[in-house]
Amino acid sequence: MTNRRLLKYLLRDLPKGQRRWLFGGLLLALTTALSTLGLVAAAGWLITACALAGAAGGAVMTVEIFFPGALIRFFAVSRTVSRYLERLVVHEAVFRILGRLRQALFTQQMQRPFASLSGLRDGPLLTRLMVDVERLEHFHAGLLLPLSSFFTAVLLLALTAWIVSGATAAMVILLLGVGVLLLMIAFMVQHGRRDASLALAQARANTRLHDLLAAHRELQFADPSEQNLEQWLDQASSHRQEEKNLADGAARNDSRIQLLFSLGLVGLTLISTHSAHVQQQATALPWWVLVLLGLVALAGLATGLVPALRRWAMVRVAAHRLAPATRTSPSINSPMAAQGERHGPVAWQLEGVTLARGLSDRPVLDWVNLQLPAGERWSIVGDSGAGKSRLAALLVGALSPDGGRVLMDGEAMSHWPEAARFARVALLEQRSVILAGSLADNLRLGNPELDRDRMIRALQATGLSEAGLTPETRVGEMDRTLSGGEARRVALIRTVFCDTPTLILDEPFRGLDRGSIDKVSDWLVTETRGRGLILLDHRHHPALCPHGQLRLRNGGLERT
Amino acid sequence: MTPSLAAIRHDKDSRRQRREDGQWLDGQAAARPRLGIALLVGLDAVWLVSFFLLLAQILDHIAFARPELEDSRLLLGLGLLSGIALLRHALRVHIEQMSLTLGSETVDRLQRQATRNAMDPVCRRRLEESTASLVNRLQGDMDALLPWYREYWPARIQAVAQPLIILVVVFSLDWLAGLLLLFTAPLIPLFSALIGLGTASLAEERRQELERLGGHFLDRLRALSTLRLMRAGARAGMAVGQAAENYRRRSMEVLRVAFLSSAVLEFFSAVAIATVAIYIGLGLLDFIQFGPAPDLDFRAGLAILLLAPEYFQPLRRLAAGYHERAAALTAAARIRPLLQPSTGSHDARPDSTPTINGPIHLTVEQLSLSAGPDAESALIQGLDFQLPAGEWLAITGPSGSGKSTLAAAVLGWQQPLSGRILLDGQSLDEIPLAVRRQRLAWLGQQPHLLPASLAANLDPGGEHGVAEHWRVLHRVGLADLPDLLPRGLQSKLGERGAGISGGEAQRIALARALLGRPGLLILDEPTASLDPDNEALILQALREQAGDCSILMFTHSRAAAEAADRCLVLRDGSLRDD
Repeated sequence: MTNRRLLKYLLRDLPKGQRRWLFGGLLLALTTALSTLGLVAAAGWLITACALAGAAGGAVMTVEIFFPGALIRFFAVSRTVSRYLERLVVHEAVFRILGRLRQALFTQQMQRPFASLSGLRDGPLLTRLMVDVERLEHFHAGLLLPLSSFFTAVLLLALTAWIVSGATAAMVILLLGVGVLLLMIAFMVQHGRRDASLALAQARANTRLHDLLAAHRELQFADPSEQNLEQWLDQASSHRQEEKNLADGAARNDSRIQLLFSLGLVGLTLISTHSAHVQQQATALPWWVLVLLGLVALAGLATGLVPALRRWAMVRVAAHRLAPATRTSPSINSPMAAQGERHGPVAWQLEGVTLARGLSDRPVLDWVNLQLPAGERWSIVGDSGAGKSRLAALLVGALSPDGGRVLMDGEAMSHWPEAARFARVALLEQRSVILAGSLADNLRLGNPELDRDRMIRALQATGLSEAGLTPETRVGEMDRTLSGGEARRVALIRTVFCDTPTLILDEPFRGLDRGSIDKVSDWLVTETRGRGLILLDHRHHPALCPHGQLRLRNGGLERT
Repeated sequence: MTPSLAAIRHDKDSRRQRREDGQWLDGQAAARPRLGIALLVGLDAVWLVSFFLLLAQILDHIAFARPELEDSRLLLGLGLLSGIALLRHALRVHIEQMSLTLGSETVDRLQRQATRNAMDPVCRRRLEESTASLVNRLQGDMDALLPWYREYWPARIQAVAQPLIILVVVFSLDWLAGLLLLFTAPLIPLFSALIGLGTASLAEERRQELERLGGHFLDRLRALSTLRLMRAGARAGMAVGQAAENYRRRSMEVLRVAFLSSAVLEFFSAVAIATVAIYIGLGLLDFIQFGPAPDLDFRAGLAILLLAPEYFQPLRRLAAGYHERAAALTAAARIRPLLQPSTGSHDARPDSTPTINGPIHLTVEQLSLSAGPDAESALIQGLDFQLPAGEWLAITGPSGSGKSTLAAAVLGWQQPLSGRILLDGQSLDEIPLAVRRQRLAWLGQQPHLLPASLAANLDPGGEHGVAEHWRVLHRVGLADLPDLLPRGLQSKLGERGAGISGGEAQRIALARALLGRPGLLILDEPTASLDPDNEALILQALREQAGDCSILMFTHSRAAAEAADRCLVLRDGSLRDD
């Protein structure tokens, strides 16, 4: 992404619709900066004027103290108020921008190929996404506003100096501003890329650490001299060293800016001597002091600008990756189109299907031909590791076979859009994913119109009511965490309530004790009446699957 | 913007906890550099004050002496001013470098220690924490500590030293102005505390709701595949937007109050500057006839005015760093448990490791074990069994009967309540860790492959030759695997071993365990998630291996139990013959 497009993204696309807030924040930041400057500068003017008038004995020169006094008090109040409002408005803007970004990002991720979604569960992809969002968060409040209000303040002080003390003073201040800009550019040229590559290296180190920690028990014996750990630790140290060097570089340039201002102050003082001397006017000096003290306050505004610049590299990386999400409009043209129409149960046909496993293992399915007529109910029985979950994924089109083809209602899988497939077949995954929220939120997931009575009946029938669960119970890590068996039942109820004509249930009784299995099984018999069913488990369930069982083993699906 | 919220929740207990964490953080850094930084920060404040005093002096000279440009006093003054500016620049750079080093070195040391502990199975059993959350602690939380040493420590010194020095100077110039500054400063923490009290109760009420709303995005993102299957993606997308909106609204309600406390600081500093300025102005005009005012001159007045903003500046800097400080404290609380050393696992590595080979004879005498490191009651009591050298013993039993606990005890990862575990007659805790690591091997249910080459996965320590790699590959029936990979043994296995089946991964893990020619191989459910083909291959490999080493296998599988030389059942805390 070129710099121009990047800026366009950050300034136009990202805060779209919220630019009023951003602009308001900018105005307030500017007011704060100018009040800070004005407070000190006006005070400087006042006491110089008073001193000169006092020395002259009041007769030669009088100072009207009340207006400047009021002005100083006004600046004191406006600095406080605008700073407070600035922080509120900027936070408001950032929250709004982020809210929109999150939604857009979610929509974008949702449109990824189904098979790649598993990467979002816990892996590096998820971490990266969250880190990127966090980085963009800093751009407006941490970089845009301080920089723009500082340089505007430089211009305004230069303008004031020009009016009250002449062009030379204005030139000095402008030159100082240019000097600051040059120091910033120098820093960016020297360090800009290093921050980004460091962030990349750190992300890799993160993944590596994850792998090492996961394998810590194996490595106890496989790596007795702890070479992998030592290597990682050295790498982490060198990253920290590099980060320290970058921080040091930023601090150095920040200090150089302060030095520049101090020297500018000395120069300006010298010029003021000359000018005040030449003018021989007592009234000129207070204005000079106003400019000088303004400069002191301006130097205060410049602190921390260079360290803030370090964020730019990260913002760049994050923007680069997140930009596509925000460009697509957040309106969701989702795979929802096929909802509403009713379908009959699904029939499957497997034609010479091969599903590989690893590199040298016998395939899960080896040239399998099979008909599963519409509305029939079959058990598919297999040991753990036999490939049941992959077979289930194959049947809903979430996985493509390595050979042959799978037909759904006589048409190739690719013929059906995802929404159409999932509207016909609901799949209970092997994992029980519970969303943080109320139990009702979870149960309604596939069926927003689900009424409360039906939920309660299901909770009672599956024994979840006994555990104290109601539709209003809040579940999730922060509230009530569900046990494995409870989560399994919630996931199962949710899938059954999708009201699709066909169901595929992958180990629905996993983690349940004998008594619960019977209850859940009875409930399933009544709830799935008239629907097609494929139940994958370690054993056959004749009551649920009257058409029989297929055994998945040795690369085949045999009827037994 | 979560840190702004994290900063403002505290009740009495958590405040005490925070204070303790803060002291702990201070204690982690070396004392000498800390003292050095403190002295230099104080020195910097002295030079800052000198700079402004000199500037006031020069302006006074310009105003009343009307010097020529060539005036030597003027030029000397300006020269000195530049000198001080240069000096301060050097000092600032030095302070910055010192505090950066202090932070890096301290955090580096903590990270090393914590990571070593996290790699230690004994500690991990105590922590019972997911890998992902440990990674966050070891990376993110460690980095969050840096500002404590780099910024907060110098800022804290500055917040004491600079106002104090300025106060002394201002008092000597004009005690009334000094009094004014003196009284405004303590008012700031007072008013902030009053506002803080309001915020604390507000935040405590809202904290849960805010955390819930804040976590919503992540939660839904993780569940995306389920949402897609349920065709709930579009609705979830809307809900994400809605949650973000609610999060904003709730947060702003809290922040409106929270920001007031820094506004108080802002207000007092601005009003103090304005009041001082007007007081000086009136004093110079001789409008004030009491106290030191009639004696006030331009030089002193200007100096006071220049110093007044600097009096408040360190406090403002401290307030601005409040989020980083809160983040560091939170991180410290999360890191501290990671630094507790496990007992006995970190003994020194001996210089020479004995080169005894051959199978180990395992004896377990009167062993009692609790369910976990923290559990009190015994899960297994008075257990006795022998594993003769070279035998393959299977132990089965229902879930929860303590198979994994027993495995951990034999590996030295859990201290027994009582009883002894002997390897070739020598008590387990008397055997140095290095020897144990050399002579034992372990294989669990889930193999963990590294995203590295096949060779690096077989031999992560890099201690064995290629011939050995081929030997163990043969043993587990994977001799033709390198030929199926693009670059043979050097082929990268990719993230989480992609391209390889679970069974193949498990066989690679077994090969890895066999590579060091262990005397005792401990297997915890090695075939539980494998298909029958792979299970048979693993059992065949173990059959070939038995004799060369002793094998203790905990399993549920019928086939695995039958393949072993002998099988015992662990039930109700004791072992019986099958």
